[in-house]
Amino acid sequence: MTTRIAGLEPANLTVHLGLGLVLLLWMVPEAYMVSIAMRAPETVFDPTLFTWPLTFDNFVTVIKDNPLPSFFLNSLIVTVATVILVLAVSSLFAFAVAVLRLPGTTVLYAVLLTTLMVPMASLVLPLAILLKTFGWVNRYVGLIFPYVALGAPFAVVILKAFMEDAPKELFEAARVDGCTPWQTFIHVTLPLVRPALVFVAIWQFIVTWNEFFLALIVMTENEMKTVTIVPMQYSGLYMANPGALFAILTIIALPLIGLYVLVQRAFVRGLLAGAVKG
Amino acid sequence: MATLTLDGITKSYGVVSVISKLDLAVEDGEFCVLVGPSGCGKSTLLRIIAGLEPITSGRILIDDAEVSRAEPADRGIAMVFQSYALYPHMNVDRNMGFGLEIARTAKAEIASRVGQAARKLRLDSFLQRKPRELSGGQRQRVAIGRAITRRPKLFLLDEPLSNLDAALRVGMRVEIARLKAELGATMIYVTHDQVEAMTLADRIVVMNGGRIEQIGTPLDLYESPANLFVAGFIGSPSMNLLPGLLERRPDGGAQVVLEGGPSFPIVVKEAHSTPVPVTVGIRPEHIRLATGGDINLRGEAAVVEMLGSDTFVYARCGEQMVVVRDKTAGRMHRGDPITLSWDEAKCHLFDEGGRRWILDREAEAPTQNATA
Repeated sequence: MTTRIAGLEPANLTVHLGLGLVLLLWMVPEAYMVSIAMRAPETVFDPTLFTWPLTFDNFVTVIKDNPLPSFFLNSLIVTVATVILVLAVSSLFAFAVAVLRLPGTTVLYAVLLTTLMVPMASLVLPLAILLKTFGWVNRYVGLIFPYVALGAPFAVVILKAFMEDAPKELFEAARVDGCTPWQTFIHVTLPLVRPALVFVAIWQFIVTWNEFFLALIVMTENEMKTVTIVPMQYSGLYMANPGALFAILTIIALPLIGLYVLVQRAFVRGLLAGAVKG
Repeated sequence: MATLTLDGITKSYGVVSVISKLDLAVEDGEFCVLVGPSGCGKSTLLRIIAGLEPITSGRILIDDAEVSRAEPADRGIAMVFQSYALYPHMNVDRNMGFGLEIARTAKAEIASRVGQAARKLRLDSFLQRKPRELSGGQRQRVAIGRAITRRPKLFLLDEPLSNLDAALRVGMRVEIARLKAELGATMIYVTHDQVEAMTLADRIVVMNGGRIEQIGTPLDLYESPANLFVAGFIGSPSMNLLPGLLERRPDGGAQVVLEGGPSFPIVVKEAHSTPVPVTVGIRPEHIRLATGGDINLRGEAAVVEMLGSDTFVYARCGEQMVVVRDKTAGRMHRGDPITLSWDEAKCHLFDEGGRRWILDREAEAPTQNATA
């Protein structure tokens, strides 16, 4: 009740109006994307945000043109495998650095951090040569392993910080209880950093699902393509179909928006949990 | 139950020595309290016994078997941590049985032992709760329960009551005393709270700067502190320590002349021909707010603390501040002139190096002081 009354106070109202305005501005690109996706060809270049009439023709076009279920499945396989591997590799490494404090891990961690500074564009060429040598072009592993290698450092940073924030006595209690390092990892550490694991999983899912550059180079065969490559065919130098382009972009974005709505509480908790020592 | 022997234990971090050559023997079924100021090495010593800190040199024996390099789980110990260290994602039941679960004990056996410990600690109705749903005292009981279920040879308790509020601490202290009697187990208990140490211990080990200053029963330490450190540390408020000179009297006897105060005769084996600096120790409860003792001082009340049962009067006597514990000083006010007196028989004497000067009246009943 008090909250309700407080919510109506002028100061709060101003803050909420301000935030609402920022949100609206922030939403313009998304609204524009959906709006263009639902326009007829004659209104597609109209600079207004909303036009009439609305049509679903663009969606029908992209669904007819492409084997979307197959592209989605490819994206899903690559993304889920990447998320699982990033979680496994980064949590084990963070455990070795933050809890076990194995000799040499701090140096390894510092080296790992430097890889965060390398831009993707500079990696594409060496990666392409490497993948070709391994015979991993047009194979899932050709995307999964590079994604894991690129995603793990950030995940390690997050998980290490969480593990260092966890009370040391819990790990010591596990030792007194007779846990091996592996049992400490499974029974104590992973449950303790669950909010961070959820955050890393969601973050990695979004990054991997949206990745375009490497996917474009590695997946050249039609049946191996991931969903983010599809928009390319509606945007060319001499020909473009903005309605279809934005329709496929909307279709790609929908699963992520749905995922975020489902897990946003855990995501925000994961973002904040490491910020203040409890 | 078990015995514990620490034989020449040292612990250093690089060039910094935290514990210097320390020997200690704890008897079977004994409740041994390690006490000392912050940073004295008592918690480090407990962690060394637990196997959570490696030793630099020396040997640790539990029941005469060397465990110096053994993992904590292989030492037959259980530890209660200062912060309780309960697994936040497990309920009370699983927290208490987790050690047994890891040791692959049969489920029925785990349930039976957890049930017994829970009944003993009155935790039966909380078994399905998570630690965050428990009060501080209940969490502490779970931490103790977790130790009990493992049926260890040795219980190690690291300041287990320090996170509780004053009222709860008294209740848990009684609870631990009850458990101690019930279990009859060997327990090593670390605290900086001397009330806990005095009330719970069979023997107290007073530590300072990584060394043992004195080992003895609570009354040993209270009545016969081995040195100035122990004299100042044990007792609350702490012992008054007044500087003075020990000198020979013209009749051949000895007397102590307090700095800026009176002198009083004292019987010592030999008094040097030249005066030697000494420190006279007198406990606040042995001073009377009246005349008539062997030593009489005049001063004024600088601070009066009324606790109801007792009143502490901080009296300024010249340069010295003397604390008096008295039951009748309730109506005294700051600035009131007062006279203090005490008997020579209640005095402790310490030499220039801070060591206890064994007086003739004490020589017949030697203390068990063991300075390291």
